[in-house]
Amino acid sequence: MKINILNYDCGNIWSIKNAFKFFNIETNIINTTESIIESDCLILPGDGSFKIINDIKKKKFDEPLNYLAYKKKIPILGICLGMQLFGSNSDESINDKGFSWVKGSLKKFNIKKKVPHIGFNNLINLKKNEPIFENISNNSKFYFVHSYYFNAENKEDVLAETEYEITFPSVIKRENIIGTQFHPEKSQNHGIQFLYNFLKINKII
Amino acid sequence: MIAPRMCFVLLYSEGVFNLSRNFKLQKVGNTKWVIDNYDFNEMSKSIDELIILNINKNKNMNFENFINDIKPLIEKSFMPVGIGGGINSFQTAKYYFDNGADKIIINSEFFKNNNKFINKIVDKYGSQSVVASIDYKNQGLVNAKLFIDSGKKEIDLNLKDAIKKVELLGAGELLLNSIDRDGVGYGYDIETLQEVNNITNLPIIPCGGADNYLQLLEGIKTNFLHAVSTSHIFNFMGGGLKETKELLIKQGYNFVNWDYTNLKFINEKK
Repeated sequence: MKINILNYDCGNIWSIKNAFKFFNIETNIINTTESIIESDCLILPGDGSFKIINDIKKKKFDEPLNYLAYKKKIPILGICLGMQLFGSNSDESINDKGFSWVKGSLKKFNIKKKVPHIGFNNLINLKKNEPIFENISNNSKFYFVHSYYFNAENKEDVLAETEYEITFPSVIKRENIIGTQFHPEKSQNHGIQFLYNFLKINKII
Repeated sequence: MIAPRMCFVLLYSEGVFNLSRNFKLQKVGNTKWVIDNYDFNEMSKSIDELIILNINKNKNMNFENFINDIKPLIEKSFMPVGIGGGINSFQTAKYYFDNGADKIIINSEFFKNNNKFINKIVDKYGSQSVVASIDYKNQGLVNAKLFIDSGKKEIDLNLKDAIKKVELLGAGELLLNSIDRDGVGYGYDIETLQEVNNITNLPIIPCGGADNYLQLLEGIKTNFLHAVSTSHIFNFMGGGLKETKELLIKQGYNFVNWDYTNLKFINEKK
């Protein structure tokens, strides 16, 4: 089973790879279209700007990624920017189209509190009976660092929310695709549990 | 609601971790020693942010040895990690980011001539990833004397102008270290921290002064500090930091009490 982490030159990939080591799971850091297609499970990491979508398209990663999402239907986990790319577009670069895997767009926080939203904040309104929240309760804290949030069109795609002056989706899911605005690999035992649940649901563990 | 952060600072120099008193170093031990004798892996379960500084006072810093030495510590650390020491180019910063840093910490180079590379780091990784560390003696925005190169060299700049300078270069956070208070058990220099907070919106991590629970409490009580830090590994080794956090939580401060015993699947494995 090939568990691949897509390297599109942004963010702390080392930490994600390292988090999977906690479960003795080897991951491959990949950056070619061939290796994308071969994936049995794909992690889209990322900190940084939505503009990176242009690089992804330039490298012709978008087509094999769509193949994984719609045809091969493998489990895909997007973290932070990786999750934001699921959307159709973003305030951050208005003319660029995202993957449009989950209906919604990225909005910049227009709030009085400091932006970016940084720190350990609560997950609230956890959708009931979701196996991804096994042993994770409402108000569990996870690590966030972002200036844009996913404005989901369909409420059923939102599995959990977080409050920072406004309430925004912090876990979204559409069929085989799941994304977190927070960094599970930076969220101590809460994040470890979340990743464990992801691996368990997808029969990787 | 965002939780306050308990930061722990590890002071590294040439293969060894150290305690520091007024920037004079006392060796604690190497990586293996810190893991075996201080049970760092247990301790790290209570840290909200790990900061590792290479405070080597010699000019030729071996970045590879440094990263190799700290790897075993950050491999079991599932929280944001800041790494600093000797960053004088974009390449060094990238090397730290590629090896597990979420943030990098820059001190001396903010105040030297060739500091344009800092803009490049901010452009690529965002200002939240760049922490400006400032070491000073004496107190107050005007009277504080600033030092660079691990406290060796005094510079002709007051704290007020230094803050402006790091803001302009795009720093997203401040690590303020009182050399007078460092490791001598007097608590944080709250007065100066307050004065700095009055002139900047940057979040501040106070450093230097807090060696025990009461001094950490004093820091978080200020209400303008949303993080506290200590580097006193002797006082918080193993479960010591967890106990300290629990005491702070009892006082009404909303720190996260990470609880690995909740990970049922690990216990099942055993």
